[in-house]
Amino acid sequence: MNFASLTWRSMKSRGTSFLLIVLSLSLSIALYLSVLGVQRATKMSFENAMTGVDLLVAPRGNDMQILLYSFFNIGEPTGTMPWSSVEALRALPNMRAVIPLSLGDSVGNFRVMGTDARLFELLQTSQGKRIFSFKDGMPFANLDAADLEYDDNHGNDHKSHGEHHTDDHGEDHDENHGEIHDEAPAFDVVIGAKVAEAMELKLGQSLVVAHGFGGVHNHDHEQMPFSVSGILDPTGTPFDSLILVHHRAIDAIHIGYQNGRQLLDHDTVLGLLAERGPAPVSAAIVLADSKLGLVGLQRAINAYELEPLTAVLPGVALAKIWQLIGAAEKGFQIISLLVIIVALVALMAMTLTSLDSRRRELAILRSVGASPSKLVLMLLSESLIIALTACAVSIVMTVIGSYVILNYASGTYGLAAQGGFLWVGDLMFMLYVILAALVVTLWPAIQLYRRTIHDGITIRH
Amino acid sequence: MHEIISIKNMRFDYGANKDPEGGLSIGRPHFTISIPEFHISAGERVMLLGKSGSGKSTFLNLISGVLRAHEGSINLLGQDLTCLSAAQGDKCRGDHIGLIYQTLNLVPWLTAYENIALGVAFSQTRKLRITGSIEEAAAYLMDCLGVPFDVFANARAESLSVGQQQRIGAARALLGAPELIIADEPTSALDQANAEKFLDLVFDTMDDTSQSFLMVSHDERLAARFSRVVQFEGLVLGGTPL
Repeated sequence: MNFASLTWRSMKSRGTSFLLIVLSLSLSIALYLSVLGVQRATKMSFENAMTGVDLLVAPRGNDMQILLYSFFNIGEPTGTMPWSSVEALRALPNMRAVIPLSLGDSVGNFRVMGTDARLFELLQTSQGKRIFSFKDGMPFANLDAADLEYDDNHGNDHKSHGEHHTDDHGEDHDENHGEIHDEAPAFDVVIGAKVAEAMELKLGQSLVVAHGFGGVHNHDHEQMPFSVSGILDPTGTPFDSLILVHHRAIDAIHIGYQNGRQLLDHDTVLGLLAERGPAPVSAAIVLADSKLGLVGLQRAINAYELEPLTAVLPGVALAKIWQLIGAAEKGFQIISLLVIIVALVALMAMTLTSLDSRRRELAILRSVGASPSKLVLMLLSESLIIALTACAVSIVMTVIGSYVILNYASGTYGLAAQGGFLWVGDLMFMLYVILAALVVTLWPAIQLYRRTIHDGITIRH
Repeated sequence: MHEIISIKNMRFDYGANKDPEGGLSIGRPHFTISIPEFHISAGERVMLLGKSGSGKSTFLNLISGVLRAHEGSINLLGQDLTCLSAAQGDKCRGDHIGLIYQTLNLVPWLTAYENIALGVAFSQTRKLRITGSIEEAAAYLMDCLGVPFDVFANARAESLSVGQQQRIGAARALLGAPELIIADEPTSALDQANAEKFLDLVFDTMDDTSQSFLMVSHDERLAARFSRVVQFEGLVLGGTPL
């Protein structure tokens, strides 16, 4: 019987209460760690999604709102800006690229974003790496006006996109680029990793786009099916839950579409598409040649006379969003901290209550030579063991919890995977919890000390 | 024969709360225990007769190094307990004193054997005095005291009868051969026959040349088994050898 085994046996004798206290403590720590993890994962995915985007231009509106609907699949665009505005943007000095974003349709719970294929090339992380890489397939074709002219000869050569694209991408792609065919006139789409996973889509499979957001499917663009040309690797950004198509394809499915019905046949639609210029878009990503002139560029766009436009510096808008939700974030943190404190108080209460039932054993241990400080040490060791176990269990819980949370949340918002959970700082936090567990045991420990001094070797009942 | 315990002009003020070792005094009467002289020699079996509330518990805490006398000296094996720090007092008790309680001798969440082994858990001195293994020593004591090791070693303390618990408690007090065995009303929960039997077993197991036995009791019927009976009268200890 040494000190360690005595402590262990004493704890074991009160097994159920120890298990419960470990459970409540570890649940509360896991709650706190998960709250922190979700916050960090959200921030990371927001920041990831925006790296490399210099400006976001949309019809006049609130910059936070613009950022949220155009990049984070939250909320809906409030208006559109005509294609002429996009072209006007392209004409501005210091402009590297203007990538249009066209929103408003969905497949199931996933949003469809009309854009152009340069998005895949041009969006880069702050380290200069491309954000997008293809797990399978390739970008959709660019449907520029010239490509949309009806071409009978090529039409007969057409094969199913999926099979066709499997080898020798580049050349085939250029050849069939924007091709239109009577029987299988499918537009290409590129789907994010989450979409591919959730809808079990493979290359070449087709999908039907519905008008509007949300899962209500009474307004499907059935006559204009899409076919998967590429599947993206996970990026840890909201792009993972997007279906990307060329913005002209979005135009196409809306031509002749009225009151939830397609009134025109396919060829007419394509003919009209070729005749008309690109339809208005929801927003545009602006990439500048040099960061230095960004503010000037922003001012110039905001002052554009023909159309009321708002140019958003994503970093600034994001900072505003964090500021806005900062209070709620703090609130969550404080509540989860309070839950930990409640668990610690329960630990203290349990330890205090146990002192009464332990009077006999304390007297016996003193009679065989145990000093009061050794008994106090025993009590503190018990709390230490409880806190350590709770921390270990809470790590396991947080790992499991983060999977559950991410699986639930990433489908919609594309939270950054794992990254935000269990940082080194969290281990420091656990250290504080362990210290706190010892601190709350001090009061019972003092009680025990005084009692053992008072009782001495006599057993009192 | 050398002296195990020797008390001279000892005075202890109960409720003298200036001394933290004096214990809590709130709501308790102040009283004084004063003992001009008291000795126990090696091998002696002393019975201390006194009514409950006469300060016996305090006296036991004094000679076992829990409380410190305010005046005079208490020598345990030549060491003055009044000069020891609390920790030294605890060590001294662990090394030289074995304690048997009235009832509830055992730590409920340990087995019979583990309760006995507890006797040397905090004392290297007593551990070293055991020649074989602790288990062998405990087995010997259990067998001597009529709670066979083979049957009861792994029994949970709570599953034992009061008499059996008493014997396991005695075995713990005897393990590692401390010089002084103190028994605090060990027989009050037993009937006459069992009390006598218990004492006989303990005395037979003890080493008469080196170990002394001090029993605090109010049961005069057992007096014949002791070499000396001392009256603990009121709060002043006096008495004559029988």
